[in-house]
Amino acid sequence: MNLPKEFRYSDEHEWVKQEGGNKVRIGITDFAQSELGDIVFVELPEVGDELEANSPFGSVESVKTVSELYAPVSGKVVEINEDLEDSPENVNTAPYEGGWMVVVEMTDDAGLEKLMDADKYQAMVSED
Amino acid sequence: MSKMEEAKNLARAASIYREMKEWRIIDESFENATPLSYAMEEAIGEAVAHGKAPATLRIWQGPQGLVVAKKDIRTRSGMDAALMMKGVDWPVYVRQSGGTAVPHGPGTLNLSLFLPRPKESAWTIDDIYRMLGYPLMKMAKAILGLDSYFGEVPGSFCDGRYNVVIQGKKVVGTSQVWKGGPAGLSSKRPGYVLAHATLLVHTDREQAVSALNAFYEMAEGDRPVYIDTVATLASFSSLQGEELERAVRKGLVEAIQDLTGGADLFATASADEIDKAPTYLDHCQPQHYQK
Repeated sequence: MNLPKEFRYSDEHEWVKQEGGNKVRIGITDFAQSELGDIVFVELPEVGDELEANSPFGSVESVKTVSELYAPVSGKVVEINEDLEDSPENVNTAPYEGGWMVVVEMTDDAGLEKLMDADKYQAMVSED
Repeated sequence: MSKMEEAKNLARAASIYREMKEWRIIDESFENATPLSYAMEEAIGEAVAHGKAPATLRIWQGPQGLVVAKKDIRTRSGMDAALMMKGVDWPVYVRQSGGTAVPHGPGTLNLSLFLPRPKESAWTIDDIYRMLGYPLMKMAKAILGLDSYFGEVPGSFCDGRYNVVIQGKKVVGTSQVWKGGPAGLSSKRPGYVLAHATLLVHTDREQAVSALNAFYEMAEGDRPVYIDTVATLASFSSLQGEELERAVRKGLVEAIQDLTGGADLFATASADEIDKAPTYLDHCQPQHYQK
């Protein structure tokens, strides 16, 4: 399983990459995208929207089903990946790069502490 | 997939039905078909997610219209197409599940399956589709003596691997959504799985296909649905119209009771579900998703 060591992970299978300051980039893990199948649509919030940790912030539609996305941290959306509008398959082909979803300016960075490191996430997935 | 493998998969679907201790069947008449019929889907789902209602199978009809996924109205042209269809008495409603547009209204029947999201990844996306399709297949065999199977039918509306197909023609389209986290994976949050099927019982096939193609022609510049790929149950049956519809409803209820080991037959949506449905009504309207 491809899991960048420097990222944090949520129990809803999202990755969080610190971008400097209070900003983090968010997407879904390689494991999640492989389980969901070919992604055909990503519903994202708008720039300026406030996200609340552990609340839904969008959805991904694969050829089989739609899944709700949960915010791993609280904060304001400062950037969304507009390329996913025309190329949702980037979530499958490059989940940690071109398949990123949103950049969030966190309200505070305490939420990051609650997320898992790569080893813990790996262990959680292995238990399933 | 071999017949033996498919039989094994259906047996697994049947075993999941039996694993659930409590079921209810909500069988709604067409007189109740209003836009609120769509909002009820979320109201029931939330009740199931929070343990206020048991696992549920809902047999229902919507008012005449096209029911689309969010991606179909994400563009300006998609919104324009929705507006245009409203003007020709085929209003567009938005569902939470995926796929492409499906015709609703007189002559169609919907089956919705609601399950509380398991805390562990006990069920797969494929399990859920088979649970949804199984009672429809049992009904087709029992009422009409017809063999049916899961399969893709290129050129049909909302095509997918879990269409229910009879003699090469699509009669049922299916879709699903997982609330509370990624589909098929573990989640500690309360959530629900909703799988939805639309069955063409005796709908006017030409009108329905024409409406679907009119929508997509304006939304995407394409007419993707071919009439020869779809069939109604009426085309295989000596029963017609309301008589056929009654037989199908009865067959579905019997199939569900058989699979569940005796679901609560006389259930209705709870007062809480009915009260909450209007709060989800805007989720069913295209303008809610306009940016």
